Amino acid sequence: MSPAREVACPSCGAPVKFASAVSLLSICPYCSSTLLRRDLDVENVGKMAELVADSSPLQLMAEGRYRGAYFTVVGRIQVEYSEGTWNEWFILFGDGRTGWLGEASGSYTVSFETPVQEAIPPWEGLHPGLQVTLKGRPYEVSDLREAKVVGGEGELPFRVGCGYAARVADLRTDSERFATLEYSDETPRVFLGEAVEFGALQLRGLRRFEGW
Amino acid sequence: MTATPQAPVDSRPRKPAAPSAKTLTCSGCGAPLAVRAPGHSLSVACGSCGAVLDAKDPNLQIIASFEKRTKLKPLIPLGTRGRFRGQPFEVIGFLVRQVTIEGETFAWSEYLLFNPFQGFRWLTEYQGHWISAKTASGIPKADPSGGEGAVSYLGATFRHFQMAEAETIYVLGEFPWRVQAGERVVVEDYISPPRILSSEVTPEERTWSIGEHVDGEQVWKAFKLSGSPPPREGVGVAEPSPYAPQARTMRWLFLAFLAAAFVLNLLFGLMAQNRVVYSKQFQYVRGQGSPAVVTEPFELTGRRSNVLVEIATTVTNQWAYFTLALIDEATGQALDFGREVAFYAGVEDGESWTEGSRNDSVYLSSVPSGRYYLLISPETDAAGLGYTLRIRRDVPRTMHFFVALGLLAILPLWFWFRKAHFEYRRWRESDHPWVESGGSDEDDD
Amino acid sequence: MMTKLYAVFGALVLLALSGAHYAGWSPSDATEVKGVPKSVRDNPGSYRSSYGSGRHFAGGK
Repeated sequence: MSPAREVACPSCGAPVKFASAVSLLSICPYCSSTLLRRDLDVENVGKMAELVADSSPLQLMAEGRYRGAYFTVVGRIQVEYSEGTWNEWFILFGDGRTGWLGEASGSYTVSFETPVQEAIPPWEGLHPGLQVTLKGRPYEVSDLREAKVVGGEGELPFRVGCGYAARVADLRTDSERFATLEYSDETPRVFLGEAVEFGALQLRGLRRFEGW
Repeated sequence: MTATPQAPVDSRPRKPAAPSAKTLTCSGCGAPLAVRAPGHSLSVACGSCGAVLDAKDPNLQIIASFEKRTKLKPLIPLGTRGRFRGQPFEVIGFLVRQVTIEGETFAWSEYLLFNPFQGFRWLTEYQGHWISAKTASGIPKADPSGGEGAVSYLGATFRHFQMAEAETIYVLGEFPWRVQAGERVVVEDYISPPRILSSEVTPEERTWSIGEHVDGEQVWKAFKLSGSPPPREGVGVAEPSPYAPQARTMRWLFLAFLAAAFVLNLLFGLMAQNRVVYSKQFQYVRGQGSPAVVTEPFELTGRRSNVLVEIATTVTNQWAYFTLALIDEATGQALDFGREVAFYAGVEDGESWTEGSRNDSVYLSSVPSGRYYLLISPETDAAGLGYTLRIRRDVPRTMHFFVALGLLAILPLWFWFRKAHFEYRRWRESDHPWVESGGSDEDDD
Repeated sequence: MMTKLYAVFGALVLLALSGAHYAGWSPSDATEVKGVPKSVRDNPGSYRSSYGSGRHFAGGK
């Protein structure tokens, strides 16, 4: 684990942070340049698209707790689908672990990319109600969405292609446990996690809403 | 361990301003419409003209329109804020839905509550019974152990209550989905009072919500409403049984009392003397002197206890009546009592019958110790009478146990009846009413 | 509430049960009579029971 690193944006010179060792990208908060981390310096791979104004109470640098561990929100991917937008916030824990805080209209999930032994069915083979075993535990496909990635901000562990279609399958259980399968790359990514109450996250540094 | 950065100096130039409530003008009738959850709301329904506008469309296109009808007034006005379960929420939407079951329509109200951090909650009201609900984060799974159609969720079993097709008949305010006029969904309710799981099935998807019974008074307090909540009618679908929390204690108490009564009975039985103090055969021939005789004195020992007097006779198709007195030799105190035996037997229509008994026994209550004798004066319609008299001291009485059992059972029986009746009234409204013949498959606790 | 009532009631029943056992109580319709003279032992026919005599069973089926 390498310590947090700060670079000067090659485009505008503003300081850009890489707080997590696993971050591959960081987006300059001033000029929206997408900076790709390399061994010694960064490469400007182009402008990141503007995010859609949304009503998420979260923002970069917000802090919270998950199962007793503190985390900081260091990045986000904004995704648009037919009913609106949702966000996947990239969170960095005190011990260097990273995860995702999913947020859509007041419901929150915390998940971690988790390698699994089981074979993941192809996108075409999925349908709501399908039973899938991940890490030996049963899940049921509840929702299939073809969503559009609007853009990102902060730092992110992989390259974000704006405007490309993300195929996402939500899998649920009869508890708070859930899983997400994401079919953007060759091999689907598996995220395992659980739904969390807003209050339990003890979030600080949130956006303010007039009157609330 | 310092990866948690300090609160940032605020210098985020790209940050869009957080949205706040705004006002629109209805494209249908020009009435002002408030948007209280901008960024979340997809539809805004105008209460004045029944138009539903696309909240995301800059031109506020009308996407649906409801029949102009008598305005239904929400009990909690839109825009009312209250603290609900410790969190502030604002009422932003109101809709009325109805189901038709066997020709009868039942309508209920749903209030949509919003908090920018917590998201949405539902508050539904039917006949004075309130339920607060939110979208479930998981999917309940079938659980046959709870009966037909039951599901389990978050470790609890929910029993199938009702399935009906619900139609939205009135909307007011804003909603995070596209409202359609006359939208029909199949609603299924599963209960584990005070919790309720509801599933709504449209051709596109099935969504689950989890709710909990709330007292109307609580709602009134939370939103600081004037007046009082509508009166409750019947038993609410998820209304917690007032009896359920006591059922376990009740059962435990009953069994404990029963065991205690049994043990008491056993102990006193073991302690009892149960001793024959006198036994003798007598012969009485009518016309030969006075029928009255006295026994030899006998000793009754120990603390006050019962005395069992047994008379065995040989009467057949005759009766005998005994006037008896247990007399304390020293004090002259007596206990007077009368006993009768009668035994009849015969054959009628080829069948033999008997009636009555040749023997009799009686307990005398709480007799003090002392030296006693018994005075016996028989009468009979027979020419003569042979009888055996036996007196026992301090005989264990099982009857006490059964009397206690009866007394101990009254309250629990009444309690279990009330409890069952409560559930009967709840389930009467369901797809699975209890049948007359006690088809109660209800668990005791 | 109900359980408290029952706890008290049940305890009373158990108390009554113990009392009944201890005192050798039985339901009985015997009548207490005082001052029976000693002479009754010699002349039992002279005893006038409060139960008197004469009930008449005219039974049979």
